[in-house]
Amino acid sequence: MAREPDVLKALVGVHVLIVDGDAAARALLESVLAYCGAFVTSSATARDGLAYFHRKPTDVVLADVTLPDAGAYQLVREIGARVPVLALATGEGDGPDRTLAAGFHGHLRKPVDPWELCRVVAGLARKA
Amino acid sequence: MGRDGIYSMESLNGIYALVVDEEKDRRALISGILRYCGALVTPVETPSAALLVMELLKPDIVIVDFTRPEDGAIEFIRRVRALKPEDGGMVAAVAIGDDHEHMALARSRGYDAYVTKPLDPWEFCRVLTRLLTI
Repeated sequence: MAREPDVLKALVGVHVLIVDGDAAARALLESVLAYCGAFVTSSATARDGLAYFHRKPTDVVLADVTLPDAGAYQLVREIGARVPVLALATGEGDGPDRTLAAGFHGHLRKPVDPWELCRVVAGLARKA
Repeated sequence: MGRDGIYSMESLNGIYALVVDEEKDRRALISGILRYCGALVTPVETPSAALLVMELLKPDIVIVDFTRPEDGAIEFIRRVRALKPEDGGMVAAVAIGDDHEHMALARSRGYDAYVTKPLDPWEFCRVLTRLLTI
């Protein structure tokens, strides 16, 4: 069993925006990223996420690709050139071929290893 | 300082624990101990809520009330062990109960360890640390 004490401060100083329509999922993802040191804000819709980002750009965006009306794809089209956007996908439909081709900067499949999530977000923040 | 000497508050750093217990105060107590030892903790009331969490995140360990195993703890671990490894099927699992006769039952159904109540906070953290470093 791997233990991951090194990730605890991996996201200190990193501002992450979570865009996910499921309130419970937002809370869980926020708890993981905050545990690794991030400052986290979240939105339930792509529209609200974009509005927040335009007011206060973040370092990384984490978007659930199952948002209604392909909201995550709309989001990456609009701000993907300015900020790394990480796709959070289920095992069905939206595979990495599709999301990465659409402009997402990374792809994680649910269920996610929380420490891999922190490592990937930290890597994207460093590249930003 | 614990009774057995200084024990690290960071012994469970970088461990994601899912706590399943229908009793609010007990859930809070177990979660509090784990957080004190450094873990990231998600407490949930029911096995079905735990399975929903596991559709999103893979815990390193699940800690399940086994006081009345037939109330869901056995069915929960059956469903967890039926998951693919990449979906969390191999997660470490600890049952917490108050009946020594349940120990063999818990182990036979898929739990890796059985801890008896009342919990000694430091011994509890030590048990989890040992289990996770095997």
